[in-house]
Amino acid sequence: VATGLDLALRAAVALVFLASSWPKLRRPRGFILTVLEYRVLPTSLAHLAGRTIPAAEFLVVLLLVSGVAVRPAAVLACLLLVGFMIGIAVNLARGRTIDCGCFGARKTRTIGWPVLLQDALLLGMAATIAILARSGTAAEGWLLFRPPRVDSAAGGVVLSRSSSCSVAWLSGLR
Amino acid sequence: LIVIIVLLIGLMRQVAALPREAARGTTSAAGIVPSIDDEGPAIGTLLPAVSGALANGEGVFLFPSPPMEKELLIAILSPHCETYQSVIEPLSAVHESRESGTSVVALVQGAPASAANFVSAFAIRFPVIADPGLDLTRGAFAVSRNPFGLLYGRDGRLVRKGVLSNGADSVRALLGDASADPSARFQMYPEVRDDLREPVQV
Repeated sequence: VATGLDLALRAAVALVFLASSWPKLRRPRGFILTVLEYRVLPTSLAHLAGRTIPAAEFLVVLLLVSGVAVRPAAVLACLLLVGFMIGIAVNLARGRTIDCGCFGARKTRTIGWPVLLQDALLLGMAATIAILARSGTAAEGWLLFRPPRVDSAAGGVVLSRSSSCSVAWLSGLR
Repeated sequence: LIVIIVLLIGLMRQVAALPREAARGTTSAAGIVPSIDDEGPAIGTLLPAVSGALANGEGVFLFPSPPMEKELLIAILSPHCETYQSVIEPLSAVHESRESGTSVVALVQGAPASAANFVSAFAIRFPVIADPGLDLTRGAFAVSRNPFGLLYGRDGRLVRKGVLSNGADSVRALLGDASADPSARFQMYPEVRDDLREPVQV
């Protein structure tokens, strides 16, 4: 059940981050403008954030989908989401109505409690992924063809479950 | 059955005509919109005298004083419309080029602080006037579509106007370059014809 939940959460978070990062990577200056319009960072830092956030979001997608580093990806997603929520909350407190820029400039959506709630939900999902991840950097999850791993306790080669024929073949050799 | 076939053929013809009409500005997928010749001041109209604030907070006053040293291209941009991004670099090139003989000024929806962010994000190299209440865009220049360009000649009168949605081709078409892409030339009023002007270096 945990693996199924883990996979479903990873798929959902990866999909949202892909939809979020792709338009920003295609139009980087538009996203820099969005970060500047939040007015929570100095100009130079806003430029830096505008350039790095889309790349970080895309990195989260790659890591979650490949399963190479699920926990670091989930932690990075959490950090990004906390940053977004701070930016939105500060502007809500200021009473400003600006475009959230969540999915690039093409999809206009004003900041508000629904956006904050959406980010909180995503934060919860990302945190759950980080908790469920079996190890920080294990190649786990969606890899279709998993490499054989050495079982040091048994002192022999044990292939993953998806290669049961090979396991039987190795057993016959013993 | 025959009636249905006739109706389907008619419908297909209408759908096929839509992109062409949209390019000419007579209609759009969203419905009927004003044609390009109805948008903005009439050709030949003198540049209206307007005042505003630049992105850096300085005051600015635009007025006709013929003969002007250069032509004036007024670009009406909205940070909320992603299409403008493809014309910023060509507009900067025109403004900085001596050969073009054209100065560029942009009107941007929003307060001077937002206009300053706009200048900073896109490294804009031409003057940007903030238009918080759209008084200049919709009032003085009577433009409701963007990105939109107005080219005023050295005599201070409007030479050409049109939608700047095709990047560098739109800028070239506005400057009267007959080699610009036809879809960009069709969005200009008057349309750019080969015999009107010499190509302009952008």
